[in-house]
Amino acid sequence: MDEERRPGRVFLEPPSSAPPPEPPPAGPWRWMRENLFSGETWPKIAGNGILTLAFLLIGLNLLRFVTTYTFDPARKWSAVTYNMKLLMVQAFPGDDMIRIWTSIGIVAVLAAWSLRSWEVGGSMPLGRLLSMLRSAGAILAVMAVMHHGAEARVWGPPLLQVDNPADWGGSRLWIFLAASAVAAAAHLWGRRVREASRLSGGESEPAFPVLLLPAAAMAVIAVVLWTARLPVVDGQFDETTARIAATTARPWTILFAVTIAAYLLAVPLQNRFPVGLRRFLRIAWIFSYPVIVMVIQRKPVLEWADILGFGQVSFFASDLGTLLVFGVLGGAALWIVSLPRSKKEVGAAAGGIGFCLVGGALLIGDPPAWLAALLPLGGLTDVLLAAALTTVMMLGVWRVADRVEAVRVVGTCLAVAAAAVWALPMPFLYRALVTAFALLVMGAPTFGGTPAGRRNLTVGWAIVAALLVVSFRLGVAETGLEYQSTTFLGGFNLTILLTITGIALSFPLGVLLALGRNSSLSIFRLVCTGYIELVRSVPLITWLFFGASMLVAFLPQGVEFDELVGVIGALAIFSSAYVAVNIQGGLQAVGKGQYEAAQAVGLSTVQSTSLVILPQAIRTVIPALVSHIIVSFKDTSLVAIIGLTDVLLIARSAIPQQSNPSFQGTITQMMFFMALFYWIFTYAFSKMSRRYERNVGLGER
Amino acid sequence: MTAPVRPPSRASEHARPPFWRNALILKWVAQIVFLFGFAWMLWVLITQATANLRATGISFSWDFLGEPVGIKLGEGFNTDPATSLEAMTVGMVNMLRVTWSGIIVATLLGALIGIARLSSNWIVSRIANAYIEFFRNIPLLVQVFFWLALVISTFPDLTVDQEGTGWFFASPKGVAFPWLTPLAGRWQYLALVLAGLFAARWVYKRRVALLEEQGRETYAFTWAAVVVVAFLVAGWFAHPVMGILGWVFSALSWVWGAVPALVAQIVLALLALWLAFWYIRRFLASRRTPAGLAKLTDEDYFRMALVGVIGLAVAVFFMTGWGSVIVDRLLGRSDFFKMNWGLEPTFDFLASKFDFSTGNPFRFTRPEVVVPTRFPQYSQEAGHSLTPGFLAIWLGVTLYTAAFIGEIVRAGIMGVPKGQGEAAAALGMHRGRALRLVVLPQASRIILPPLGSQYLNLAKNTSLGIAVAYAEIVQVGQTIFNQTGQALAVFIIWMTFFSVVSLSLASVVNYYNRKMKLVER
Repeated sequence: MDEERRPGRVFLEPPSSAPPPEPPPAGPWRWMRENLFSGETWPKIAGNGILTLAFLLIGLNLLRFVTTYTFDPARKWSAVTYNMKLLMVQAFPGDDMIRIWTSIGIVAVLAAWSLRSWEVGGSMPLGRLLSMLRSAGAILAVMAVMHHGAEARVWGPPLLQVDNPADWGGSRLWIFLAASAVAAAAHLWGRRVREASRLSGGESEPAFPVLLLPAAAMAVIAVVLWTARLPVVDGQFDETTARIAATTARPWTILFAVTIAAYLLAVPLQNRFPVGLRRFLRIAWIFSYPVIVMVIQRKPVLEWADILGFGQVSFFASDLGTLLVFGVLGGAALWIVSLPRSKKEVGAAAGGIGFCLVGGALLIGDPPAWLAALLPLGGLTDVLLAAALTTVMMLGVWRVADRVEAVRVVGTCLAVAAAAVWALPMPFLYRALVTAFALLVMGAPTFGGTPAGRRNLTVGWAIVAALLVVSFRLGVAETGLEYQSTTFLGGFNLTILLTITGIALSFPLGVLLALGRNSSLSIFRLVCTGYIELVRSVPLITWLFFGASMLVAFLPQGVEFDELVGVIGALAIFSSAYVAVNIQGGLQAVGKGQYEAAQAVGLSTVQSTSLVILPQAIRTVIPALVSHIIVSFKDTSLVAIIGLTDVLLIARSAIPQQSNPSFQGTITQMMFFMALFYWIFTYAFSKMSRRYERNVGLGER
Repeated sequence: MTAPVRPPSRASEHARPPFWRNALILKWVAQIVFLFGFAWMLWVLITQATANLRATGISFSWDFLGEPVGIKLGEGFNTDPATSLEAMTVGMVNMLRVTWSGIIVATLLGALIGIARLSSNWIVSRIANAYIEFFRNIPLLVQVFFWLALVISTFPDLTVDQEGTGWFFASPKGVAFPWLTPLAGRWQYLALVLAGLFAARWVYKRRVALLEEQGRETYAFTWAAVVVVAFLVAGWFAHPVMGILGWVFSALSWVWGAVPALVAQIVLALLALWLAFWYIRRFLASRRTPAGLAKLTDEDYFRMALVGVIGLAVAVFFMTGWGSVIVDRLLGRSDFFKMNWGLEPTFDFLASKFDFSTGNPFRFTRPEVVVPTRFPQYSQEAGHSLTPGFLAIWLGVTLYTAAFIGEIVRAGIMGVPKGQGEAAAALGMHRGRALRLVVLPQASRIILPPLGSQYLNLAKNTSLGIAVAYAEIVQVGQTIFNQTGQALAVFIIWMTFFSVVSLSLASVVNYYNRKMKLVER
């Protein structure tokens, strides 16, 4: 039983042994009496009845508005269907669409595997699904009845008018009949299921896996993609219908199949390697971002010589060589210093690091002019400096008594080296790698000390080194890779990029700000509080203006970047303040006893904060952070105001004003569509996250 | 058996760590280094910004505020501002118009939706739920665009045939409806009504005291309402009485004109300092509990520091003569310094409004379509018209915020123990009465803090007016920034204005929050 209770698994409470009490007699009349016409006295019943009637009229007329607006002949839905590609990816070249499909595929496979690995979804009582089906069918049937055709004669009192059924079109009748049939069937089946479950004492309430729902939805969508006829423009002002192009239908069908296949493949994988799969997925999600950016953004003219190292490029200057040298040597050093058995081991590691420093200086030494002028020794200066640093390090390790102190000495010397490499001319990648390595060695006494800590540090170094090398090759290095201009980024593609990048940048910043604000050190607190309050006091749109047109004014002359970068910076600035406020709430919710207990077992401030307090704090506020992500997703639509062509700007300006003249004056319906479009994403995401949070008990401590 | 407590041994004092391992010193060194680094970074950024600006031929200064701008605003109390400062002021007033009216309507609507969401009537609660789920899951900007498109595309164009008055007009130029057009007597009337409100408050308190004394129903609320209505009705005829205020203002104006300018400077500076001091004292008093001063959070410190700095800045502002420059540019008068900071003309202005005149305070007018050239438009004199931009942003922020307020109200009501409502029912209270007297006062303690932050969000969201060409502060600022290139100055004005609005809203909410808390125990 306890095996079942681990987090991530949906768990149903064990049924109590006593049979449930006999439910009161139910029926539609009784339900209406209790829910629509409740009350003990006649005036109350009448009052409730009037309320019911009024709201019923409001609801029915709203439904009528939706159908009438949607199916009005004046609507040009071809403006949506014809421009779907424009809305999604703007002017992304058609030949390169495979990049978009590939990136969606990467995400889909990772998502399917994660769903399996974290056991999201669980099962849902069949009765609930049936009642949902019943409601959906009933609403659809009512909509079909309430709909106002264009020329149909109408019956009924003013607010309840319906079309004469004799004038109904064929498809409308079929929709009505099908919806009614579904509602009735679901109702009857639901009753049978409930009755059966009651008779069996509620023990075998039938349930089904929730994930069948998206799978079924994918199947339905695939069928629709191959069969449905959607409106398209015909000449300048006419509309006709046509099949969805195979260039759209085929990739989606393949993607759906791949997703389902990936999930099925994950089942044996997860049974065989439950922990390994999770580890792999965590790392894969981290790497998916740069990889997808490359897949979408860059011309795939990879210079394999730069990556593998042959021909003109020496192996050690190539990506693979760099990664191997830094990864293996650094990993070995970290492996030793994170759990040293004796001072001798630390000394050996320090010697190795010093040897590498001197060796590196010998290989790539080339001091800047001012240093060469100061110490006129040419390339020797670097070597001498590295040798001096190594000597100091070795002396320090030799002098101190304790092995952990010796690791601290190594860390301090490496910090000096890391500061020095930023003053010396060398490839950016080496600087970044040396700095990251120094940071990890400095953290070794704090986070090492146990076999688990040692493993985490070493694996962490491997990930960081690989990520740096990959990002360097994709983002910074001068290679054969070419950027597609950022104007290729547009539409929903841009919306997603802005959301994810903004959030990803704002989380670390927000955590730091929250810690600073919660710190006992008053200056940190003051600066962080000031930052948070000032950022929050101004609306996002002013920050976007700041990022798009004012940020450049604050940077040194010659530093130029795309407007997009400024906007992402502004989003991160704004979002980080809100993340900080959320996380601070979590920090305050962590009991004081936790701090004291962490201190009592001898953890340092850094250790207790990062190992005890922060994990609890973040876990407490995950629901708040998820809703912040949803808010950020909605907020990215504001970039339309400053002229970035996200999906909203295309829907509002590009389509009604610039393309085919038949789309002129379609702003209202495009906004109608955009509302629906955004609503589906936000609603589905918030529902899913709430369900998962409830199942796993997130947000509780 | 407890072990005797030994005094700390001498040895432990000797074993004090060296200074580079001393936590206290390390902490402070780290902080000071951080502070210097931070200040250095700011300094670099600001010098860089000024240098960059100078390189492009624009140097940072506030002079552009007084210079003429050639922009026409879509709406506001002055659609053809002479200077940038004036344009900014119009933008601020327009922003506040949306904010206050939006807050009132969103609160009422949100409360209704929150209560409806909890209704025992199935269909009422479903529709309220649908409203909440629908409006809060769609980006506000989409909603604002939708409302604008709806207003522009749904209503028929005004035609020349429609010239003349009517009851209600809706067209792509906006909507127009009947309104109480203010006349000369409105100042006296409004002053009298204000006095009536104070009188009603006094009466209410008296009646409540009587109720507590005698234990019988005293109809305090009815009494207060009657007083207000009496003032409203009688004031229509009796408002010339308030002409007495005219004498008071003339006297003030005379006194103010007689004292030298320096006195005014000192008085205003002291006033600013005193206000800041008063705010901080009130704030501290609000945090005082029977057990002593409660622990202040950083926000509290920050707020107090901010108010202190603002008070000091305003004082310096008045003492150094900067105030005269601003007021001067705002009103376009050059003799302001001699006139004691505009207070004398202000008093004169007020005195001219209270002159025992006997005209009606308001006139009921119906909207009118006029055709000055070829294109028909709404008359500005009769009725009241709202532009499509205003309608779009107002509908957008109001309906959007109402959804969030509905959720907050629902959570607040559900946070009140169920027994409270049941107890009220057991005492024989009606459902509405129980809600008003028992449940809502308790729920308001849960509701108020998040409600305050929704108000702040609403105020900030009005900045989306720029998307529908509504002339509020961000839109005006953006236009001015495009014309003058004064990025930094415009940004500072935005930041200051929004901070002031946020602070004022927060203090109003805090005031009510405190009041509610005091009721508790």
